[in-house]
Amino acid sequence: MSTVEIVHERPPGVRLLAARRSARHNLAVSAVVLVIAVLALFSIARNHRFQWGVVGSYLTTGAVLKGLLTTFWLTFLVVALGLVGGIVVALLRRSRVPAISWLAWLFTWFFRSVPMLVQIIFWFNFAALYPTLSFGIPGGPTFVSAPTNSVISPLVAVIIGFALHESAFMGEIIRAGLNSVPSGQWQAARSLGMTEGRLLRRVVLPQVIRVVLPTIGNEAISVMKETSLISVIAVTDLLYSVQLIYSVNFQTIPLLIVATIWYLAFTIVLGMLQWLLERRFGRSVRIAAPASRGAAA
Amino acid sequence: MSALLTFEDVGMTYGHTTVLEGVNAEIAAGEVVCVIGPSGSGKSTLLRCGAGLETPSTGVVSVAGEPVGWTRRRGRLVPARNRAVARQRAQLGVVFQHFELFPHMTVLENIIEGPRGVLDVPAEDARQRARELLGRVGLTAYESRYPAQLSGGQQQRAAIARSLAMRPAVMFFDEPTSALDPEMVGEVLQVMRDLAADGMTMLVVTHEMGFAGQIADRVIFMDGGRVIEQGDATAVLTRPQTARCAEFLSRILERPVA
Repeated sequence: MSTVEIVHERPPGVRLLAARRSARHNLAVSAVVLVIAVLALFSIARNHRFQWGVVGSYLTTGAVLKGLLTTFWLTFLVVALGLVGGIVVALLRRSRVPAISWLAWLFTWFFRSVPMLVQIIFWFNFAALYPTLSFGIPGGPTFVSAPTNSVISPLVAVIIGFALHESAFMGEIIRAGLNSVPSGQWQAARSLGMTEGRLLRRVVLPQVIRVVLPTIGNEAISVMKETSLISVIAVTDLLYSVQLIYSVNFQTIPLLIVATIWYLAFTIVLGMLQWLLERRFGRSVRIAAPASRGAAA
Repeated sequence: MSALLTFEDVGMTYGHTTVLEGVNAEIAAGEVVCVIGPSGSGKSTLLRCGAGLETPSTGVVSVAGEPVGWTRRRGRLVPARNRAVARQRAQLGVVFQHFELFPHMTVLENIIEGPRGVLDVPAEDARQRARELLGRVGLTAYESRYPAQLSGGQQQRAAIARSLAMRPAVMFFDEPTSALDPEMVGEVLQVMRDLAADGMTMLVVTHEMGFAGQIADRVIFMDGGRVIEQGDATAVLTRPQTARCAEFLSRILERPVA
């Protein structure tokens, strides 16, 4: 027989030794990192110029908590509207009618490109551009007409702006998710006689959501921070609330730390929410992971 | 012999590529027809046209005399509305090469999805029927598993049960065993044999020549988007009349057949 025999020359002890050495190494590195972190924390905590006392006294002030609440609902509203808008934009983008997919592209291009700050000011002044909103035939009779400011308040206009901006970003995320669902899934759903709407609701979107959840979590954090731009139109969100306080008492840094602490906490809440949703939508895959076998392709 | 499924001069063109050309074929109720041929010969496209998943560029596919994807209006054929197309597809079962079970649903949920959502069958009836079908394909113990927890062969059997739950008039199989590990091919073919024995009308695209020989009443050989030869299964498989079919069979049969 001319087969080559493979000899394991390494005695069994060597691997064990290597494992022990790498464990000791990991421990040493961890210790160094920990010491550096503790020193940095100490330096921050003992630096009286941070004014930790002021931070503590304003952390749970009514005005700050009210601002936090505004940031909270604004974030959730914009993410929810953006998600719905994004699904619509992504679906239009896939339309076989060229004019429709082109329109969806144009929407995405426009609302992704214009800085949110510019859009906020623009939408805030929407009533100046269109003082009255009317429903009728252009150049013909008007059926209903009302001053813009009585139909949508500047704040509502800005929220619409936020939602459009977010729809453009979410649209791209959803589009990636739609592309990730194999064409066979669409065909299988169609072969069962599902209409396109049912197919999306029951078969495709649940799979899309699972795939895009991490990216949407990221996006939600971005939105949370972007809502702080709304301070330019004097909406008392978290950031503007602390700005109002420090513009009076000049404790700029401590109050910005107050806002930072709440933004950090909010991010943890968003992260937990994402984790819960990922668990919910990933159930089928998670349960299955260890047993998957059998398909050769 | 009255044809249940008819292909009349069916052609398919994508841009400048012609995938199917002038295909004529008839499949009678209860008949099992296997479509064979080299890859890229248009077999799967033909199947998707038959199942109403694609509308041919030319020609008409009809099931029980009804053109698939078209409605007759004042004596003329016009493209059917989406809802009408969906209704037609509901009676045409398709089993795919890669199973295509819905990964976020359990086996049972997969099977009742169509009957519940499309046919409006009451939940309890749909579940009962689904369990009956699971018994038939030998998956009774697996109803609450997710597809990814099953072997390929089990997934394909569940997919067959899902199609059967719609009580289809015709079943289409698109290379149902090509994505399977060899040891799992047999269990899927057995389910298909049982179906054929029960009188199900079946159109099967397959590379399993031995299986085609056992199960098929007739065989259609395709190449380059055209039907080159069709006829009695044993005749086509053992005494092909065309050089191209003979050459294809000799190439395929060099390898052991399952």
